[in-house]
Amino acid sequence: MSALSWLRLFLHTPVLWGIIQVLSLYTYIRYTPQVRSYVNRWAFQVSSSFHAFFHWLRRPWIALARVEELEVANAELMEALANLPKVQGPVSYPVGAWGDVSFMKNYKLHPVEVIYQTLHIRENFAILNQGGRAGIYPGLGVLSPKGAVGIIAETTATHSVMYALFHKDVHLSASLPRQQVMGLTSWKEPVLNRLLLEYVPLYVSVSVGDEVWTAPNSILFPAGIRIGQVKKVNTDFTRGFHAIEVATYTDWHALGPLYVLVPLSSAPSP
Amino acid sequence: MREVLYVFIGGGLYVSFQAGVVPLIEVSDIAWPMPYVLFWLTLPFHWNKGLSLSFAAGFGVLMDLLFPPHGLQTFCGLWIWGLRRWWIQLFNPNLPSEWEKDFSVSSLAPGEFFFYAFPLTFWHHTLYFTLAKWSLSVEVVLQIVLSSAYTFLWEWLIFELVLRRRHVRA
Repeated sequence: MSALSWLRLFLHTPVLWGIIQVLSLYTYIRYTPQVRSYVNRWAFQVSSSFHAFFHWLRRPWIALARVEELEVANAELMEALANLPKVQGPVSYPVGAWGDVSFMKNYKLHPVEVIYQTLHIRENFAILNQGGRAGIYPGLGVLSPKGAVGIIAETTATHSVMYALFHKDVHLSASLPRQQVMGLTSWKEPVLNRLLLEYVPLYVSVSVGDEVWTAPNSILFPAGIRIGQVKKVNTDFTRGFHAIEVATYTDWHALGPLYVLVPLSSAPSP
Repeated sequence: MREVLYVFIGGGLYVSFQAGVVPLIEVSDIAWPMPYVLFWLTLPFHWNKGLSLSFAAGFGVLMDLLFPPHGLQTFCGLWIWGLRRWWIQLFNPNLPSEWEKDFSVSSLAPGEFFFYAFPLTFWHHTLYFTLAKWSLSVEVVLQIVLSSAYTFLWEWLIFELVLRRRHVRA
């Protein structure tokens, strides 16, 4: 319709009458506070009812969208749960290090701090701020919040020297808990945060991502402390054993708080 | 042209009456005389509808500017202007097609004037008091009924004393 047609339409008396009525009623409502508040309330109720009705109509689609959102969130949570040891940040208790908590009834966790650590030599070690006076003696295991770190090698009254797992002479008796077999860790290649798990028989099926824990026959650590995950399986048929690369949970470059595992029988009485 | 002058004089008189006399004679806030309604009732029927509507709306706007609640006078007054033609045709189904040319409120008999003016006045008051008080309580209904009667009394007085042409029906 052209502008002239619209003008003609508006010049019809009933249309004009309606327009004037609407304007006058609008003026009345606009400048009368009680009426305005009532009309606003009424309009709000009407719009709320409309909204509720259309929301009711859309409920199945909203539920489907919600299910999709929850599936995505669930997948993210599951992923975070799978990568729990890799989570950065302060942890006050080494929960991540426990593959099996049964050992805790025989041990006490003694918190210590690193005051010096080597950086990438063949005999990596760290100096801890607690020693024999705190009940620490050579041969005890040391944990980080993520897993096993090393063993106490020497102590003085006030300090200790911890040999890391990344030390050419440190070997841990380790196990694959899924397959229930044992092996021995060593640090042959000088790559930090990597260990070599040897002497796992060829008939054992090992997959990338399998957990590696301390073994029950270890004399340094109790069984069930997490060490790392299988990163790569190199099978040497000439030797008859797997040579498994293990990515340790503990990051030598970000040790965080450490805990010495002290057997309860030898812990000094307060 | 003379009729336009009459319309202006009538409108001025109604407004003056409403502003000056009504506050003195209102009955304890339960019945209000509003004889200015007669303005919309007596606008000539044979006028061009647009012109008539302009006068009706203009008078309503004038009343709105003078008296609160603003906006309600135009709204209720235009209802009278809109319904009065239909109302006459409803009660006089045998009117000729061009009855508006000869029709004048001043030519009505007292009984015809009552049937013409009172229902429209009542409808005006129903709209006005319901919207102004924003309720439909017993008090408001009483106010509608009593004010309609009171207003019609004044309308009838003005009709008898000023408007009615007795020689037409004599």
